[in-house]
Amino acid sequence: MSESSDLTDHVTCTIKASVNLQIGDTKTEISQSGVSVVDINLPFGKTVNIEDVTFKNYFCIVCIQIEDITFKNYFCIVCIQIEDITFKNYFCIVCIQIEDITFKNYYCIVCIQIEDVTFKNYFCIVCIQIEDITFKNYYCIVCIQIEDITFKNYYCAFVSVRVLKRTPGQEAQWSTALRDLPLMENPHTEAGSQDYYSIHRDQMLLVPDNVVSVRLVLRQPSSAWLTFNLEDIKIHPHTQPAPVKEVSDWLSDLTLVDQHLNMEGLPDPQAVSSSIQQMWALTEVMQTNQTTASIGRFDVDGCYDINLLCLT
Amino acid sequence: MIDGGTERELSATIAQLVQRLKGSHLHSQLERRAKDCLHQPEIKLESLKEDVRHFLRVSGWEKKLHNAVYREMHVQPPLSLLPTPPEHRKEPLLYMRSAQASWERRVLKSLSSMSSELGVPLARKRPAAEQKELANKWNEMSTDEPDLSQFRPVYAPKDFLEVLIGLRNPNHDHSEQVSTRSHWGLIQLPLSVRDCGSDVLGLNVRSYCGSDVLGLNVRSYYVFESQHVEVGKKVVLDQDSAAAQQYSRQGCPMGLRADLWALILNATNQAQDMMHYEQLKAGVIQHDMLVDNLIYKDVKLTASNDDYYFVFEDFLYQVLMCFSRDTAILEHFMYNSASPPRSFIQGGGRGVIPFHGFSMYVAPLCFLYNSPSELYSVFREMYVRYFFRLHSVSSSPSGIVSLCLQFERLLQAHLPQLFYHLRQIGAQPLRIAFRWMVRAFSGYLSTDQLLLLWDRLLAYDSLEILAVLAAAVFAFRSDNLMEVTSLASAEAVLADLSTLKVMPLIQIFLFASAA
Repeated sequence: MSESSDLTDHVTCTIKASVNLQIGDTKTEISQSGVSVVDINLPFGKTVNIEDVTFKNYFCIVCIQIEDITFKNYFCIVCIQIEDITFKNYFCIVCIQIEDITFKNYYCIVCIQIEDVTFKNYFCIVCIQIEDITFKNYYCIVCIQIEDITFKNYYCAFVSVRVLKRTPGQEAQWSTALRDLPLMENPHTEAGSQDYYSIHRDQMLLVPDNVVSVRLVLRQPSSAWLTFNLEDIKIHPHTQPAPVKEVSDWLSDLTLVDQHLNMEGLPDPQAVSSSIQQMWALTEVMQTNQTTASIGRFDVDGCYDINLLCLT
Repeated sequence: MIDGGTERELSATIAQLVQRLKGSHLHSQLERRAKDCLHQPEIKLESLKEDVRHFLRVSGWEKKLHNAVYREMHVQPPLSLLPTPPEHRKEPLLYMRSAQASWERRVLKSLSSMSSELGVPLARKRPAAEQKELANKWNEMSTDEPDLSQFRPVYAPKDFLEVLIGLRNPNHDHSEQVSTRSHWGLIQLPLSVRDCGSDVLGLNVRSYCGSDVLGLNVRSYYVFESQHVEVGKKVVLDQDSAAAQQYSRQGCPMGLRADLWALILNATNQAQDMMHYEQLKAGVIQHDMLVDNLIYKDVKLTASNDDYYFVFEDFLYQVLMCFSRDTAILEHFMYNSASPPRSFIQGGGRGVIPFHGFSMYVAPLCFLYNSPSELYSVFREMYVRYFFRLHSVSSSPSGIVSLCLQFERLLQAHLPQLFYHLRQIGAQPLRIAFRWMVRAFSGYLSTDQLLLLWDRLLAYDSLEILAVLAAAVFAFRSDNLMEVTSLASAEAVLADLSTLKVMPLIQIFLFASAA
């Protein structure tokens, strides 16, 4: 581009065919690394101050909005400031919302602050603070908020929990979440030796958010046992509690469904309650209309006519 | 028992209790009473809830609900919020579960082979004539003399003892050499038992101040006794399970014992219980089971030969045959490490295979209850709370394995010389004491002493007292035992326990060991 003209006039350059980079040493197989290098040679003898580079994309991730970038790299560095990103990544470094980055790396560091991410990752370090995340991951370190840790004990007497937290912008740090929780009352005897336990986030000394890694330190001081460990370890992530529905008591009572009601020959409750309500209404009416007159006999054909009674 | 858990656990336990009581007869009775009371003039619409509650409290129904909740809390293990599988709730230790399962298979196999050998089916429907005959003879089944020579008990306590001796924890390190910490007895399992005399039964012996612990106040015995009876009458009138249990810690007066035990166990004898018993009786009349013959045989061998219990032979048949058909006991298998044998159920049975001496669990109760349905109700409650633990392999502190270990540890700790001597002559103490504990001393002690012992069993809600008594008996006869030279003579020394007084023996043992 010549600086004298505003017109979008481009420099003729020689664009070499893209070279696909190979992963690993195997020369026999060309595995898709997902990376190719395009060399653009500017016209010989000319130096150009680049205003912009325009191109039509063909499944390529591109550098956008960067001030300065000097690197020698086989891999693509993409700096973007976007909300949504869906990509299939191989050995890609994606730095988002950062000023400066100089590094040489083989693996992908993705730092994003987005709500929804769906991606298939490979050797990816992801630090995210998101609610929903579904991904299939290999060697991925994920920062999550822990709800609880459940496991089955096998002759372990005490367990301590250490967590590696990564707060954004800082180094990851190990800290103790729980120290020496007793699992067996007496390390020499069986009580509690094969029980199921749960460590809830409320029991931990610090809030287990942004956790990258969890370390469980097992202690069994008694020499009575041959081995000890924990089985079936599961970490449950913290979910925001669903908003409490504002339903008044009586309404929830009405909608309650009893599944295990054993009516042993009793009359139908609906019929009973309606008859009781009628009786009650009757007594209320009688109470409010107290007269000194004696209640004559209102029976018609041997039974009381309810209408006559109500009118008094 | 519920322990001080978090809020969440408490509300989960309450929800579980509500769910269990919701479909019960008590629930429908309470509802009916509440509806009936609406006719009462003092029930006002504005304060309906409080008035109905007050009415229920005053008429004693709230107390019944208290008792029912109390019973549920005692019987059910505490609810866990964790996804524990049901077999873990029955028995947490894997090797115990496998041992129980293999024992059950052996027993069932033995029963099936007996059935095929003798050509008697596990269950069959009785022809109409036989049904009529049995219905007529229901109250005098002891006069029947069927040929039972071919039948033999499926197993005896000593067979079960061999199974317990063989129990091993695969993760336990046995390689340590014999040392002061090693255990001399037969049970080689690292279970936690209370083997220190001062905290057995939860008694804090060191704070004993001379007044009536365990029921003996020597100084003013007669005054104490009449006071005690008066308090007992009040407790029975009050109809409160928890109070009755607390009261029984000092023993029950003979006249009040029946009511107190029924109250502690919340074993009612109302119309629905009598109806349930009648249904079971009808079941017995309609179907004949192989187990019935085993019951017959067992009663003839044990209770009928006993001076105290032979008069109750008829009752024993009635109760035990109904018991073997009762589905209500199936729910106790949720916390029993045993499982009801599947093929047995298909054959019409209900799950508990009696062993030699099983009828002795019922026999002492015959002294207290003379109506079969009430006797049945109380026995069933006692079985699902306590007796089932005496013949199943489990790690529970009241289970027979823990009791055996506790007995051996108590003996080793407090009478090491005696234990060592007996071990040297080949008379391991557990071989003698096991049969006492499996039967809860029924048939070995004199009846009044046995009932005093069972008072404490109910009062402290634990079978540990059996282990303590067994050790106390050994301590009492230690002088004679130090002089014997063989297992047979040791058994002879300990053959007759009918002259022993239970409570002084236990007190001497506990306090002497604490000193």
